[in-house]
Amino acid sequence: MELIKDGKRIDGRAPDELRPIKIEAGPLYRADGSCYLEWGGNKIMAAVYGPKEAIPRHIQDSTKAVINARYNMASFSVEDRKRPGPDRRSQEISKITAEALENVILTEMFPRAVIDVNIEVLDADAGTRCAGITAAAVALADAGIPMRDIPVACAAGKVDGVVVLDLLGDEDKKGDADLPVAIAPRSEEILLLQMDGHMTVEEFDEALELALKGCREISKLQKEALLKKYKTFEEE
Amino acid sequence: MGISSVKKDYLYRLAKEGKRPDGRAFNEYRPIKIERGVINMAEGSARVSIGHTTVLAGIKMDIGEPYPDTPEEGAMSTAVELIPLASPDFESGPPRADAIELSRVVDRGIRESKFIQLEKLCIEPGEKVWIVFIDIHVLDYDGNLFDACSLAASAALMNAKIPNERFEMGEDVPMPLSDPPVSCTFVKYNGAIVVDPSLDEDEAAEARHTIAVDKKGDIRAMQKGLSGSFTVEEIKNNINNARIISKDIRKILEG
Amino acid sequence: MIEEGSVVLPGDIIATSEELFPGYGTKDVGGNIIGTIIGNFFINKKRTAAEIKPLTSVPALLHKGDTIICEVKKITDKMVLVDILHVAGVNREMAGDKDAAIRVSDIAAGYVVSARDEYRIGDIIRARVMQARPAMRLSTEGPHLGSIKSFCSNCRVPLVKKNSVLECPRCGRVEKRKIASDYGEGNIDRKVKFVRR
Repeated sequence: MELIKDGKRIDGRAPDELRPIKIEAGPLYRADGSCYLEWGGNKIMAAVYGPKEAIPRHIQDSTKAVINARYNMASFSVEDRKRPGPDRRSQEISKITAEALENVILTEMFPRAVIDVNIEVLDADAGTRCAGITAAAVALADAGIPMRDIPVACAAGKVDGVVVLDLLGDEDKKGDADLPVAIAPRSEEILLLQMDGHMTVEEFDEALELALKGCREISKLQKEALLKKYKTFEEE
Repeated sequence: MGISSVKKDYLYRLAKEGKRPDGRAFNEYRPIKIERGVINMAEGSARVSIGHTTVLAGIKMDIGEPYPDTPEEGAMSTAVELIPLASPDFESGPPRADAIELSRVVDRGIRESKFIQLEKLCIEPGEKVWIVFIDIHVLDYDGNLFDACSLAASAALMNAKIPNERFEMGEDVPMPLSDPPVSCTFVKYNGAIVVDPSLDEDEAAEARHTIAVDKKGDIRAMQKGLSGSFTVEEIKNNINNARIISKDIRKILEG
Repeated sequence: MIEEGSVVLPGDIIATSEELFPGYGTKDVGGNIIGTIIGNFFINKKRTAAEIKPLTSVPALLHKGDTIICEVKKITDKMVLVDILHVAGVNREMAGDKDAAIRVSDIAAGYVVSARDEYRIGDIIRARVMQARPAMRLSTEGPHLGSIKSFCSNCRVPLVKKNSVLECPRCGRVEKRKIASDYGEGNIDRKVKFVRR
């Protein structure tokens, strides 16, 4: 299967083009903050609870809040039904997501507390960890949790020898490399970076630049979604 | 003890005046919203809201061996996940007894009303049948999960297609179905019996009664839950009310 | 510096640290004052600080003047130790410490000999925050503060208000408490204004 034909990808995108992204801030009633995000074929719901007393006590940190992220895929979100509950992949993603988010949250304001960040993948089509972090960041802002920036994530990769932005499912499966990146957009510090596949150093430079470009575009969409909810709120 | 016991005092006081915390009448249901086909990867799906309660049901199908006692029938399984996204009171980890009870009550309503025509899901008798997985994700918990999960499961099944194409068995066809069950749940606190409990009412409830009604108005499954009790009169009353209320819900479901 | 009143998102640069100090909802990051929550920027003139008036709900930290619901965990003659269960009008779990104390002198307007005469372990009390930092100080002085739910020391069933005392509906035992005017009504979100002594 040819992944790139006449400079176009299987869904007709140019190599440096993102899939369509839709972000809604605060759709959930019960959560302290929430976000619903559609990104290509991905559908993600994120909810934040806390800061609240960390229980059991041995997980408490007397100097700062603990970030407890839970990335989970719904059984029906993938082609072959996934057994419910965490597997090793989702546990790894939960860990690096928590670490990336912790970087921007002013955790020192809430000693002994925990902030729960729940990310549910409802429909999956590659790039769910980036979509999850992007949604979680909006949910954290919606929950009024102080942060020095709103993190954002996006992947780049290589398919048919071409460096491309934001892989979709078939490109991820059959492509040459995948590079998910999360940043704090104001300073462009890197909060999360993974890579698998095969790239030359030059290709990596190009892919990272593309991922950063993607992050900048998505950061705007995150801010628009938050302003859409809270600017109208202000006018009411 | 905690704050829930104090909230209960408030609900008790309102109930004595014939009122509910959100201003509804005792037999008044909250607005229902159903969106169908919301998940691409699922064979069928539906997102259902009852008031602020929101659940998402997805159908996946696979081919497997039939049960030895029903060699010519497909199989079904229902699982509700009370994920911590939906409520600060839900914990991650293996399903607890309340999630299992919920799954089984939803399952019984569908199974006993013969909503899925399992005999049409046989591929090779005794060898190969379709297995229907009904997975229900609770997204926002504001009470009455029994009815929300049941409604979402039915709506998702009505939206589902048998994925013949993916298994290289020809074209996709609609799920073979009969009429769906409609579930109606009542709770009792301080002598008051209310339909479609909100979260505060769920928390104050002493007894719960779920009734799955078919299109004719016959009863297909019931569950009495929690440590309180109902009188025989109350049970009969609930059934009568369920038969009336379920007609409106059925209209929305079959919409 | 950006215009006063504008909506700020986390990470937005508001001013330089030469212009303003960082106040509520802002932080000094490398010489810039940035917003950390969503809200309207304004200048606190007294402190020449940049502050944010939040547009979102914010973590439930206690402030002076808040009304809270708490449960009595331990009593000595001089002190009632409580667990804070709920902040009136706030639909979020407490973000900080839940432990607090009510001194015997802050229980009621008159002279109270021992805290044990006014409260018992397990009582659910409405109190007001007199001071949030450095240590939490609560008061139940005033007609609308005090127990909103108490239990019989013998049979543990909720006591019922009868005139100015509480009575056990099961054993008939009469108990005394500093009770709130709406004892037993279950109002957890009622906010009580400060009454100066």
